[in-house]
Amino acid sequence: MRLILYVVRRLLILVPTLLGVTIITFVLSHAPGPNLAIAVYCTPKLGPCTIDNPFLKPIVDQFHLRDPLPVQYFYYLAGLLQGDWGYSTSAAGAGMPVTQAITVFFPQTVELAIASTALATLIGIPTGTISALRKDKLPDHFTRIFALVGYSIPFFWLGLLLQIVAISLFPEWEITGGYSLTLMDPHTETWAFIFVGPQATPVLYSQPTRFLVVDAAIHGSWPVFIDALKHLVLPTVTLTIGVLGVILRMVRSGMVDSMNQDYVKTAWSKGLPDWVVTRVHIRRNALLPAVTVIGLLFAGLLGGVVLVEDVFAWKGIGYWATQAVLRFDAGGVMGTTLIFAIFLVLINLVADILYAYLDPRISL
Amino acid sequence: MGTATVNRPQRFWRFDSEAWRRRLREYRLLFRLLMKSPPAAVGLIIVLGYLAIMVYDQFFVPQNDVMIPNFSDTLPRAPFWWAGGTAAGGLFGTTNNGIDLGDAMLKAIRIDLLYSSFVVLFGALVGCFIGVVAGYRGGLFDEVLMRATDVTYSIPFLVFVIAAAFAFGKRDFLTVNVILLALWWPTYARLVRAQTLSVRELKFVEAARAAGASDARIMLKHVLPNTLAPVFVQISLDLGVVTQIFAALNFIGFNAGNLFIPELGNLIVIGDQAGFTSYPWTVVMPGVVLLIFTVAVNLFGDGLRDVLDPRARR
Repeated sequence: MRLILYVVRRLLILVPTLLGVTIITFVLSHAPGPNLAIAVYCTPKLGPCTIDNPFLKPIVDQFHLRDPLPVQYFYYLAGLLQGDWGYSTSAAGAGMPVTQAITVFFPQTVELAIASTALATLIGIPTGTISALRKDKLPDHFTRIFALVGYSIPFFWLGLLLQIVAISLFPEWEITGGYSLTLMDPHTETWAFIFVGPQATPVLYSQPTRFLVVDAAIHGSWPVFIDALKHLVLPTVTLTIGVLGVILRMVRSGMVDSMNQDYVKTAWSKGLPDWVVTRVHIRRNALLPAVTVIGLLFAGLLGGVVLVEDVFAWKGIGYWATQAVLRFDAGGVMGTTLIFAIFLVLINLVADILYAYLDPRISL
Repeated sequence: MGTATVNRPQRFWRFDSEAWRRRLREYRLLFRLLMKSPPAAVGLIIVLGYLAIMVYDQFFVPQNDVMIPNFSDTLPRAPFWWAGGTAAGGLFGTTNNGIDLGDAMLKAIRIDLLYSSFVVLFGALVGCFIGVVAGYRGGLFDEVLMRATDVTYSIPFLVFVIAAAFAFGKRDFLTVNVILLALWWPTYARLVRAQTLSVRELKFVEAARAAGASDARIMLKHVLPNTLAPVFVQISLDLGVVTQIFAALNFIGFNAGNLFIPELGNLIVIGDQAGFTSYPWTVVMPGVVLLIFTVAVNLFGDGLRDVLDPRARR
């Protein structure tokens, strides 16, 4: 019951935060002025590109450009809630609705984020455990140096470096560059939607998850599956190395902390086997605070995603964000900022609730 | 009259030599502790080396804000110790447009360090004052501030900077600087606020209040100095982060109109465009310079945290 109350309270705190985010996105996308909307539709034939131009009256009315900014903000907010997020000119050649562009780009980013978080956790927790158990020994030193370099290294440079290594050492793997077996969807300019059917003819299948790897596996299109997996390797490794540093440190310091606790000494002196003490007594407690760091981890990850997607031309939200700025696309900038914020806020919410659920000591 | 004047608190801007001597002694002790940990000492030495390069470059290198191309020799040359390198390549090699990498990186270190320390120090200054007022006064200001930092935290920083640059309608180095200066304080405000909440309950603050000290005096002289330890740690760690952000922003194209700005991210872009598989050193060199700096900063920051916060010592 108290947990439900906590969840409700936590959800209520979300409202001002998200409102703040929409204010920021509104200001950012309207800062270039009302002339932006006009500039898109205005041609020299119509005369001066100002609000007073009678030929532009439909545009002025449609975007409520004569109203003061606070009133415009409420129209904007109402639009957001009704699913009218505007149009992005950089997502596809012919202005695609932002909401549709999000469904195209967002799964790619999530795919990358899930893959690298999973890999980092799988490697990070056992390695961190070993590092803590062998504190100040050789494995510990190696792990700490790796963690240090991992969170110091610039993502984009690491991506380029891995490409150099992959191309010069394993050219036959063909893991850099774009997908080779899928065709580009001409409408969305993304590489994810046409699978190679039987007799190598491209067939348009449904995309239940929008993750190329998963969809290809569902349709049994194995060449595409392998191709997609190959191209997932380098971006994932790049992100993983960065995230791994954080996880390693957290697991190690948490375990070293709980190793000095009295209940652990009791467990040892009861004569419990090593693995029971390390797994059940030490690690379980050490991993609890780890849940709260998931939110921070995702913030770092999503920042890194922008760079990694840029380096590998991975058509996700980060790539779209940079393209939107470079091509002066207000809808794209607004959409990417908002979707990043919503994603991050929800991740933090889940982390908080999970923590409250897992740790009965926390006062709700 | 006599006793009353003795007990009246001093004005907070008066120079108190005894207190400063005491503080100096403390810093010397901290420094000695810091030097006992080899990684922190190595980190400090490397950071000081980079700072020395920055100062040297600022005062003794002519034309320290442009890279000098050599259009008669545009193909990159390998450093002499690289496989297939010649003496003409020099110690660090050259990159696209015949830019000497040694010279360019020397200038890049100045620009990256100078501007990132501006950003971090300005952010720390503003954040400290906002944080201490919010934590000490509480109330509406505090509530609004916390919600505002929540909002800034819910947008990934790089995305925020990109969107802000869009609002300015410019993507040059100066705009990026202004945006970072304006956005870097929330971390410090939160840090100092959290510390203030615990410090303001301590006895000496109560004593100062009982002695009739004003709120401003208590905040600046009694509370703020006691919240600074984590701020120093954060400053040292942030130096590396901001340097990386500058490089990253340059990498994704935020140096519009100034292709010859000596900046490590820009150098990596130039190397990338030259064809990094044929001329890998053009990408590797600037990255290594950046990596060494961030590693050193992190080593130093971790060491500083261990010294300043004995509970976190492992």
